[in-house]
Amino acid sequence: MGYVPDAVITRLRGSGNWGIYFQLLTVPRLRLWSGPSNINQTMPGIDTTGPELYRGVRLNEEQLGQFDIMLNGGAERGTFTLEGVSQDSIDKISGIDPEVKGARVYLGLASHGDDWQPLSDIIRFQSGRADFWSMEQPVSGGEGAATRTLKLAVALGETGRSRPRRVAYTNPQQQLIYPGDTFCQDVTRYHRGYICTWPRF
Amino acid sequence: MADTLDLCQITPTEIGIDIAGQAIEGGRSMSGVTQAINYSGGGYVVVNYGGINLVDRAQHLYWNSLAGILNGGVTRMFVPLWTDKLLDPTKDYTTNSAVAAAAAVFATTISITPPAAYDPEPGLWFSINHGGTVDHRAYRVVTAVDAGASWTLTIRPPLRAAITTADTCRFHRPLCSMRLAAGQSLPWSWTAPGAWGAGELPLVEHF
Repeated sequence: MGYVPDAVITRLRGSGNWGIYFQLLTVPRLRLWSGPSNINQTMPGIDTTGPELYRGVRLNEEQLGQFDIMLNGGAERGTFTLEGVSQDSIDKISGIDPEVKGARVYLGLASHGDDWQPLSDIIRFQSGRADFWSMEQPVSGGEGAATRTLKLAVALGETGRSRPRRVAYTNPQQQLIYPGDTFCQDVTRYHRGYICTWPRF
Repeated sequence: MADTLDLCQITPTEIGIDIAGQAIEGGRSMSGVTQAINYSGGGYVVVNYGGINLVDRAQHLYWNSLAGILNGGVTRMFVPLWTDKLLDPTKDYTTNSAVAAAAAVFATTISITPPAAYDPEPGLWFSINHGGTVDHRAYRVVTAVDAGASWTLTIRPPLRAAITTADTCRFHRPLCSMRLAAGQSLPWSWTAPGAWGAGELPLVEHF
């Protein structure tokens, strides 16, 4: 069995039910998923003490963006938006101004069966670092409804706002895919473009 | 605690009850077949009570008080689902069924013990009062298997909260925590000389 379980690969070949999962490693952690109501799920390697409650955010079709899979450390920046936030929630969030900078962000998906039960743990396919959060409420004229939107800007891969991040491949990621492999254990010592001298013995 | 909608006051003549959810499709293939992916997590309950004729003063008054509660689309109410057409007229559904085994949040298979008066047939709607902020939620029976002491049901949408054996399932006019659909309001209008008014009540499940 590979990183993606065989049963899930079979489901990927056809039509099916899917859940998109999001986790922000602040204190306390923010766990969200695309469905309407709450669900217990596990993000392997992140939720280390068993299944946790993921809150439903009722993702709508227009909100569904697209992500590029990180290739050779090159990736793009991402923005997660949450629309239709209540004034009450905005007031609460503005009051405490949550510290998100540098918090890890994980995005994953899981295949759900025809009865909507998840077929596997969450399969992580993107990770990033949160930079800042913001909110906006564009003024709408006439009969348009005003929508409050909460945004979280995230650096994916090695992109950064001020300077390039150093690490794109991480040892924990490598351990998740190939347990025990030591190939990436020194990766934090190098930045992109660094010329490694082949050791002479 | 939210108010419960009094169906007998508004007497809708057009009733629509549904579970809304969406699948998105990929690009069209050469053979014309597309793949669909559903991210909706099982969908949510949508109720549309239309063709509401307001005749007497009490009904006009109730419509106005209802508009006062629901307008704005944020305040929720416990809305009875008018599923009488599904019920067997020879049976008494007013006794609730008991939950026979605990089930986790988002489960779609539950076990219940109905009273002797009726069977939980596929296609029926029922509701469970989860308490807390979740309160009453409506579910649709998809399959029902008689397992001797209890019945095993598969339901849609998935459970909104965990259930225990202390909970009950209400089959007669099941309740659902709902609010007015986005962008809708309940204008009060009537026509002279008959002084009849007509209205529509579009509702969605509250979260």
